[in-house]
Amino acid sequence: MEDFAKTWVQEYGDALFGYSYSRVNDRTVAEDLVQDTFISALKGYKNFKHESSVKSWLISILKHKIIDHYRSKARNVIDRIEESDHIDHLFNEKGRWKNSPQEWNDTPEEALQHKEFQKVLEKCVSKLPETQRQVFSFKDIDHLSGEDICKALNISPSNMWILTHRARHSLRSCLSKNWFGGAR
Amino acid sequence: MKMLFTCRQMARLASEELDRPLSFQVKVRMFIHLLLCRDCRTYHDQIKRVDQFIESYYSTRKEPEMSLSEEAKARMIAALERE
Repeated sequence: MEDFAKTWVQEYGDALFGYSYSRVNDRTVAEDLVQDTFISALKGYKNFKHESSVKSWLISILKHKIIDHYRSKARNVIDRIEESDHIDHLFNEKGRWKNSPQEWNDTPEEALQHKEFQKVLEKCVSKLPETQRQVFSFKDIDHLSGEDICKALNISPSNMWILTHRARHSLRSCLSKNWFGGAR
Repeated sequence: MKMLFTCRQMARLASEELDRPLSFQVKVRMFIHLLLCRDCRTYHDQIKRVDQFIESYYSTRKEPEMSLSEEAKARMIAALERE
């Protein structure tokens, strides 16, 4: 092995790990992705044109590893999506609400000012299934368009709308229960 | 085609509207339904708020300061040496 590859682990290992962990939320998976990144970088080093810093180059490799990781996961999730909707049980046979949606007590602006609300929000987001969380992390951290998210995960737009609706609906229920309507 | 959407269809559209532009015709049908249905107004408004919460959650979140354990680093160096 070239010695410089060893110094990558020492110099950029933590930064890459932070980047990876913030997107996959799992230490082992994040470490594996960083290790795969270093191995791919070592193999492709002769093609590295030094137009960017080594760190940005490594991060761009890691980005692809993360996308590949989610692409295979999304495939499995999509295969299991049934046509019947996850919210069907809320409506009667005429398609009307069986029970009125619970009103929220605080305004969302008030809620966002509370530190405790931020904790509840974090807890609710962390409960979402991984693929649903990933769609929002692509959208809101990496600012990918809907089209690019579909390409990255190799899913159809309607699959993506199902995932985003499931995520928003679950978060709404979780926030209603743990903040807006429930005791706190 | 029925003029009005059902509440069930409206629930899905509340989210879809945030991911793609809807046709003028669909928007008009949604608008009429929302005028007439308080339950859907509540749900629609909450789904929009939830989207803002998610956006604010991700945009204010800092990349965590994380460190690889020494074991993990050693494992990576060993893996690189095998290449």
